[in-house]
Amino acid sequence: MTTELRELPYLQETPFTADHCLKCNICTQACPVVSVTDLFPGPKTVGPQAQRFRDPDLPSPDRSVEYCSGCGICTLVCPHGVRVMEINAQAKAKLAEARGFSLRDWILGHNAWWGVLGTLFAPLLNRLFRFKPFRWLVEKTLGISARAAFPTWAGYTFRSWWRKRERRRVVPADNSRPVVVYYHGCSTNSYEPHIGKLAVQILEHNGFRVIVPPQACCGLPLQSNGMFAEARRFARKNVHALADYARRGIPIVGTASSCIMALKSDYEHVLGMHDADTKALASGVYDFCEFLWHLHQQGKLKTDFRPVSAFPLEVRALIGDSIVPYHAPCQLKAHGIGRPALDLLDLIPELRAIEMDAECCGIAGTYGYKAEKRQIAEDVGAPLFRRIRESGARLAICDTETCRWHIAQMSGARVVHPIELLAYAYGIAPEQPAII
Amino acid sequence: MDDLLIIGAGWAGLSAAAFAVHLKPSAKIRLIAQGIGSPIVTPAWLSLLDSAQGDVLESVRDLVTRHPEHPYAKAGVDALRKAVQLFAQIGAEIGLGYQAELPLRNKRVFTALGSQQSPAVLPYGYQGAAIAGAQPLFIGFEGWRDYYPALSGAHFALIAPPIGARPWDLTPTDYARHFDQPHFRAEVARSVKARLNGATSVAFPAVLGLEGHAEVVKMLQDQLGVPVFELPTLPPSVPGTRLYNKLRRYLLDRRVRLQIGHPVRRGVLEGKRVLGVEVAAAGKPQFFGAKAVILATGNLYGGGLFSDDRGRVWEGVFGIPVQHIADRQQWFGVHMLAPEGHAVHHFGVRANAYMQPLGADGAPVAENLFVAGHILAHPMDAPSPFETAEGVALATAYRAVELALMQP
Repeated sequence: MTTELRELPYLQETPFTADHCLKCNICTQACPVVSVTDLFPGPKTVGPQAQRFRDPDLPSPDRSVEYCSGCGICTLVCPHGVRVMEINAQAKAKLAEARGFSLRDWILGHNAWWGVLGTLFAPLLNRLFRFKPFRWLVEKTLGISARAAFPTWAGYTFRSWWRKRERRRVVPADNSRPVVVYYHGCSTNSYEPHIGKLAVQILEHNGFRVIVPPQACCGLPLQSNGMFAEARRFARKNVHALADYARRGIPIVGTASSCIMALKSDYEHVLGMHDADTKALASGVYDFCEFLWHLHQQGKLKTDFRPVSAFPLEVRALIGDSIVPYHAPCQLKAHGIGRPALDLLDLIPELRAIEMDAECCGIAGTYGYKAEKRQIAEDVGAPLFRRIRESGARLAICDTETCRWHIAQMSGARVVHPIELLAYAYGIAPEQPAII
Repeated sequence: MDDLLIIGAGWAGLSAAAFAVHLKPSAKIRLIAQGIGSPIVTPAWLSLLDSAQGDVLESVRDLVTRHPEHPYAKAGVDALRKAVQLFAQIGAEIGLGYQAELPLRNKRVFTALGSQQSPAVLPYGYQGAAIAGAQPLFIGFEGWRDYYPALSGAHFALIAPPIGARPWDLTPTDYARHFDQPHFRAEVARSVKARLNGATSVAFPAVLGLEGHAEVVKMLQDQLGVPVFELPTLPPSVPGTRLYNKLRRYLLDRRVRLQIGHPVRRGVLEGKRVLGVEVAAAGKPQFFGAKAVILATGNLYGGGLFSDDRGRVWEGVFGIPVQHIADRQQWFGVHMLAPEGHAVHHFGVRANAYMQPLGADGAPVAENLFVAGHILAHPMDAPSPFETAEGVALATAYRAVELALMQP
């Protein structure tokens, strides 16, 4: 028996979900930003409440919404289905449209470019970004926090590794294998190519043929900084490049939960793209762990996992006798897929991964990189950092990159993508980087 | 596949998860809900049968005899006793000081409007009301629209604690976070002490700390030298938030999967068995399989039942028939706050003695589907469901968990 009784044909569009709001303030008490600063009056106030004063053709009247970090916990905790975060993201874009945006926000929004450009100058830039006087200068001139953890450029891109690997392939690709599209995102491409390599190797280990078609930045950094027009351009590139795979039933799998969330939901509910191709893409993309867990449920995942005692010594030393704290990033919670990373990690013998009860780590993409918001980002994550320190763990797990960098910096633990532990359990080490 | 999947994060759903952890620690448990549930809009005490005089369980036994279709009758008085005791044990373990010594007797508590209520089990903050003495002093905060102490009692005082740069639009949770700061509560203690003037106890709105509640109450009592207790506020309720936050950590530490944010849109059945549920997730629906499912989505207020302007009432996940009155004129009585409540509060799904919801044919919808909490129908002539609110949620959750965990 199936029922479709929850379907409400009206009030589905983001701005109109405000009509469901009872002003109960459940979102306000759950908002991690409200709990640490007086500068943000809360998601209800700037969201569904202020929505009544917003005219679609006029600029948004109140700037306090700029202090919304976009974590989206408000949307999750709302018992009435108000898309609070999405309303706020749209209001922020209105402000940016009316008042323009700072050079700083423009730079942070375009991190897709800096990742690739910086690869050419990696050794220089990596030194420069760890040189304190330079960071001080950047904070004073641009407003990018000197305290924020910057990633290091790997010096080669995932895509260059992938191209070389394809060229060197001795045996032609096995066309009888099911195909998976890998969506790597900017961070894996420029800063953490080892995650992309592990993704490819794990998918191949499970019998797939991986392809990596041309793709663009998901657009989320632009969206978070209010540059919707440009975010939509990136979004359309991805829809154009990938929707066809989704239509043909070829899964599109990504290791960056926040980018995948942009493809799954933000294009429609934040950027307002309601076309059929966008919807097709949304239904065909998977978070990496979500995809593996689906495989497992169909009995198709290889579970030849080694126990932790067979992991490399340096990893075993980090784990010790401790639990391994897992932080479910806000963007992953927004997927509504549960905690597939934890479900998978539970399959690894001797591993005890426990979800931390902290809501948000505080960084929220580019938010915690802004000088005036840096303290908020550190205070929001404080309970999480404290819990990780108290657990005695020296290794923690998180699905999204900026969260990993932030948690590692603030807690002192090494923070890895779940895929890295899965790879140890499969006995897979990342293939050596191709020499450029 | 999970051993137990619970739909709903209200009193029934959250307690069901906590009970399941105790009854079968090895079970794989998942809880899925659209948003945070009911505790956060309740005072977080346990109403079992507010009108009971003497031993509450004895009075519930009488109620069950008079109303064999009451949810208490389905769960059994024994389940109520076990549920309340286990809840109190967990509530003490998470630092909220719930006490449930037998025989259970209703306690006196004060409300913000100067009336009294009589729930049976109280967390730490309300316990001082029993020894309030002849002249409690009611404390309010200057400029705070959510609470005005003159409505609570004749002996009152307004204080102006240091509340930071945003003195407007403060919720109870904001004040509670301030109370977690030692310098803030020290300042409050100083201001109140100066106005004690022979008061036998001091009442605050229920904002005495979010994380360190017990510590805050103890510190104030030590400083003031009289009992200190809380009065429930407008929502969001701080005592409810404390309970939700601490239960969340308790459940996550015990490996329960908590998924707040996306509603279950339908149940997936094969013949007379539930295979799992489908969640309205981002991009595409997500299927979660389970050996047993407990439906604890609440009534019309909780989000488990839906209605329209033609008087139709339906259940939103499995399409279970709802016991209701078709004529909307009869849904509500004349007086909004009448103690007997309104007919509409009694609407719900029917269940058998095994907590299985019943279909139109009177047979269970599925052998591994169970139901708990206020989605259950109350007999129309039974006491207002608010009088038995948490008791019904806990007892039916406990019984449903016992039965659900027996599923192969």
